[in-house]
Amino acid sequence: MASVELEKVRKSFGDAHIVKGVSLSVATGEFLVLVGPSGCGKSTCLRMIAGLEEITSGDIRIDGQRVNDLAPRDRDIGMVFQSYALYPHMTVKENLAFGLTLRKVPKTEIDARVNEAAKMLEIEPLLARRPKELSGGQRQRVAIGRSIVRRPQVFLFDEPLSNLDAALRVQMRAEILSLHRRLGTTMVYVTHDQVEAMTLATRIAVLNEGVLQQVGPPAELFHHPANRFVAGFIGSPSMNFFDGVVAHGAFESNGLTVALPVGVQGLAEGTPLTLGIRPHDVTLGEGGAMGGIQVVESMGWEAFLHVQIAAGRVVARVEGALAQSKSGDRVSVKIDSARIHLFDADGRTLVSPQDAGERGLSARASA
Amino acid sequence: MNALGFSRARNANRKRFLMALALLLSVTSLAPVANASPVTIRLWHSYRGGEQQALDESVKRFEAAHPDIRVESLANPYESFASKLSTAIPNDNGPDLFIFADDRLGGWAKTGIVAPLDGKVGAAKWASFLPQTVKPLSFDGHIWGLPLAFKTLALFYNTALVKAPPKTTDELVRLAQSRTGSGSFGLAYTADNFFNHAPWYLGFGGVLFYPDGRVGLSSPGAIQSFAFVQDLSRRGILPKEPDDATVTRLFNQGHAAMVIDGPWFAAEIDRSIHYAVAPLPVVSATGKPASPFLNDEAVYVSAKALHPREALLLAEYLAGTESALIRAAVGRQVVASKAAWTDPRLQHDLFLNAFRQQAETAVPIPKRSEMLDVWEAGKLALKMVLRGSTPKAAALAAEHRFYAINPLSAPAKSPLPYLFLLFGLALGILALVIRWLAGVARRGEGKRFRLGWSWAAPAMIATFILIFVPFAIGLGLSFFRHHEGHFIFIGWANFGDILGQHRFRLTEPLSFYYSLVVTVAWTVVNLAIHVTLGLGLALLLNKPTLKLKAVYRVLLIIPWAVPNYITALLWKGMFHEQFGAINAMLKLLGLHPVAWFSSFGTAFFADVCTNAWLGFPFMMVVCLGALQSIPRDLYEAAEVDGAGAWAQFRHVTLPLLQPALIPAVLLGMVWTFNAFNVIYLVSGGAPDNRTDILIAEAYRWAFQRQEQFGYAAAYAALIFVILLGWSVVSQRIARRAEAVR
Ligand SMILES: Nc1ncnc2c1ncn2[C@@H]1O[C@H](COP(=O)(O)OP(=O)(O)O)[C@@H](O)[C@H]1O
Ligand SMILES: [Mg+2]
Repeated sequence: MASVELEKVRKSFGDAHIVKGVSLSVATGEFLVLVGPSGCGKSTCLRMIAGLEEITSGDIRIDGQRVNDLAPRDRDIGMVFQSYALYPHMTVKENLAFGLTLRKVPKTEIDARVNEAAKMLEIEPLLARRPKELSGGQRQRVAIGRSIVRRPQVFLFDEPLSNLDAALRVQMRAEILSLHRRLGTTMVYVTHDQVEAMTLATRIAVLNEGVLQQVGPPAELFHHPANRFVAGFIGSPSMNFFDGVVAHGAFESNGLTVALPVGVQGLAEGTPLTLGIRPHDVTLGEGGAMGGIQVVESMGWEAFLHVQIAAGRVVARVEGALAQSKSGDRVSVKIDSARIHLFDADGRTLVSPQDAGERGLSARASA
Repeated sequence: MNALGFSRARNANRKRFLMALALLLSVTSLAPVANASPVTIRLWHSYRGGEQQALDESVKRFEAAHPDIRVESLANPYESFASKLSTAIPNDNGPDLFIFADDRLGGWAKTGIVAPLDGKVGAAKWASFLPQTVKPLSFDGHIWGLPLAFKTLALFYNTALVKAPPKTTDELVRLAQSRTGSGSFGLAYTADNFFNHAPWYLGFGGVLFYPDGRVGLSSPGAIQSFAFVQDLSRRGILPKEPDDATVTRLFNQGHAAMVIDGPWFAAEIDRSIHYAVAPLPVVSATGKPASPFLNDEAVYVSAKALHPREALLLAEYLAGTESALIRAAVGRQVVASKAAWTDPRLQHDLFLNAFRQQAETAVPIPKRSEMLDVWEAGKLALKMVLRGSTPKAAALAAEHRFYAINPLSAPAKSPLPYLFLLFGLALGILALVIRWLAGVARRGEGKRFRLGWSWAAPAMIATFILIFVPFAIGLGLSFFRHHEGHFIFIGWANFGDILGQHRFRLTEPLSFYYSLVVTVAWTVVNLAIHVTLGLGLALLLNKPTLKLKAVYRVLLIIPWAVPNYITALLWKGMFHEQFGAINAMLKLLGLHPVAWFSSFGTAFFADVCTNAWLGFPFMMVVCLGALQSIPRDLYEAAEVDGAGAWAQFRHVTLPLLQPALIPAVLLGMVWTFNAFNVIYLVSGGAPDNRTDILIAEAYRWAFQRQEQFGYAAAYAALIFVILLGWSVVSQRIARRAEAVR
């Protein structure tokens, strides 16, 4: 077990600057999820940690030791590839044992470790099969097993679940979590799926266009996004955004007026702002902005209504009778100034609502 | 064209196939309707170029003079002409008359392919030909053809280098010696060809056949003639390993003062070279003139001619004076008609007259089928003395070879038991087919069945006709003995002789087992090199960092794109002892030049080099394709797992290459096993057939050794059995390799 540190790491492929100075430290035993839209450089970061990609500048340290010039096999890491990358000509057992065989580990020890990993991952009955005789989920387990038999200091996962169907993904997620709990090894996990990030991570690092946006525990990223990008990226469905200006001491956007919350009332008239509000904070009721329902995403008891108001489209989460609304119905959308996020023209967060705990308390108090 | 047929490279199978097809056609085609007016007669020949023009002109004039006769003339490729005649005429599918040399006359007269003409043509007509041209057409007390023209060897000399042609061999040697040196040669001819050696052989008094039928290859005169050639070679007068192309090149560059060749050589001579032709000199040791063979071209009337009267009319016209003059003027042929030589145009033609003069001492080729074996045996002796063997040893080896390749005289057997067996087999298959059809009908699948089969039928019929029928005929042929156009059923005798090893010692190059060992060694060595080179280059080309990849890829595939016989001839040229690039490089490095084709090891090496060059691109392409299909992340996974470059190659690349590589190797083995072109064209089996692989030996039995088609077919059948067995084994290996993926 070891820590991983990236310090001002850059990576360019010729003129294409892909990773633009990432500094990040992963504590020993931590489960860090690196999340970001596809093409933002996540895999590149992970591959640099693994040593599969050279670093253009900066330093990477594993367990405090600078590893920039170490070959992958000398970094003591295990990696699980998106494509699993199982050796097609070897049986599951041989796949698992390969790294140990190369390291000339005694045969009895290899057998013991392979069996242990196989038991942990419940793939014992598959040991004699070849990868092509396995299902996607089974292959995934083998790929994980292959990296755990070597007992590396750090596990690297590159979108390991993206080739699985939804149900299996949920199941594997739980298994990876329990594996982490059991092994306690440092894990760096790359995904483009923020749900995966939220459910797995001790801490999440959000990457966009090669730049680290925010690092923190999932709840912090959800409630206190550092900028508009993180606010939009974390949470499902996404936060609603309205671009507007400060007018008459309130936020004003195309007929939508929302009072400025405490702490930002001193803003000058005409300052451009972006208002953000999560769907579950949007309410329907008299006196709001009127709009027609365009789409109803119903899930029975609850639904997401896509409502077109003058200021733009807004998604609202509703429950009970409101969930039975039909598209075409006209509704009034209310935006509570206590529940909004405000971002300045550069996307930086000016204000976020109180976090969940505070809200729960205040809700009970008002009851 | 040399009338004695230095046949070009040709796949033995293909020839067999043509023959088979001819047989097939002969069964199916219909005989032309008689009594139709005007009468159409068919004339076959193998003339090309000027000779063909001359013939066409004569035919046109004949047709003009005989409006009731139409002549259909067909030019045949020389290589297969004789066998075509031998098979077509007995099957009533041949021409009414044909033009051919006299060397096959013996067999054709005996087997009733040609009709005797002495009774039908008057004495005056016979007297109108040069007597030397009539004599070769006599056989068994009859005269069988009307002579048209003849060919003999004579001495061509460069008039800038030779003022007066030598009268004796001593003069020849002296003169040649004085014109030899610094890349020039006094005398050039393909000395290892027995046809070209015949003038010395006969001039030294060598015996071809003793009256009791024994061959005279080791007669004292023969040995002396071999010694004479060895002396010419040792003095450096003769270029080493001379072939037709080298001789022509040397003469055209002014690097050869004299050349021994036939009238056809004139067409090859460059305009810038001034030359003349003279008869060959007298052999000083014996006082006898050097006597080349006389190759008599005659027109024959087929014994099965549909219109023998009209055919004879045309034959007489073609042999007549008018036609002869056209032949001399247009075809530049040395004509047989005496009257034509009195024409002033011919009288002043120095070129044609030199050959006419040479004809005075020329002798006809003995009319025995065994003569066909003398060519190979004689060639063996010549190659041996040119390599430095003693003339005596060479002569004895030639004699031994002569008897060794004499056809089997296995007794005819009744094919009945075999036919019964075949019939039973056919019945069995028929029963199976009927049962199967009945099953189809019972299950009510008739409609689907008919539809399916009607779609498959064209391909199946084509496969049947193009592959199965020739194959079956070839297989059937292996139970026959071919003798002068007749096929005699002899059961398993061919196989018994080949496998039983009664004729040759195991270590002799003509032994089946010897050739088999060579073939297997050839296959294994080649494949090892192909795979190593191909894989190595593919690995280099697959390097992601390599620049100009596309350029290299194209360059490396070129050897594959060039027709392989051209490549083979180029390599043969590079390995030439005197003019080859390889020896030139050795000399530059201060090493001794190597006579590549004089020992097994070096000749085999030359063959292997050529085939390696031809074969590696295929393996490279296969490997490259397979390498590119190996996902990159497997290497990365292996890297993370701790594999270095070698371990990655050993544990990822090699195993994943196998599924593509193994079928390619198995296929390559079959190709290499039958790589006739390379062996035939590069080493040509040198030395002494030692580098011949099985398929090359099969070819020689069929086309160079008295047309032992049955024996050759048995060779081919054995090759087939070996490859079939191998492919069964290899299928299994391939399937196991495939299971990996
Ligand atoms: N070897 C390479 N050469 C050039 N560009 C690359 C290379 N590898 C990745 N890239 C580019 O870098 C960017 C980030 O890639 P990657 O790290 O794989 O993204 P992701 O965040 O989806 O994992 C992409 O635009 C990709 O095209
Ligand atoms: Mg990626």
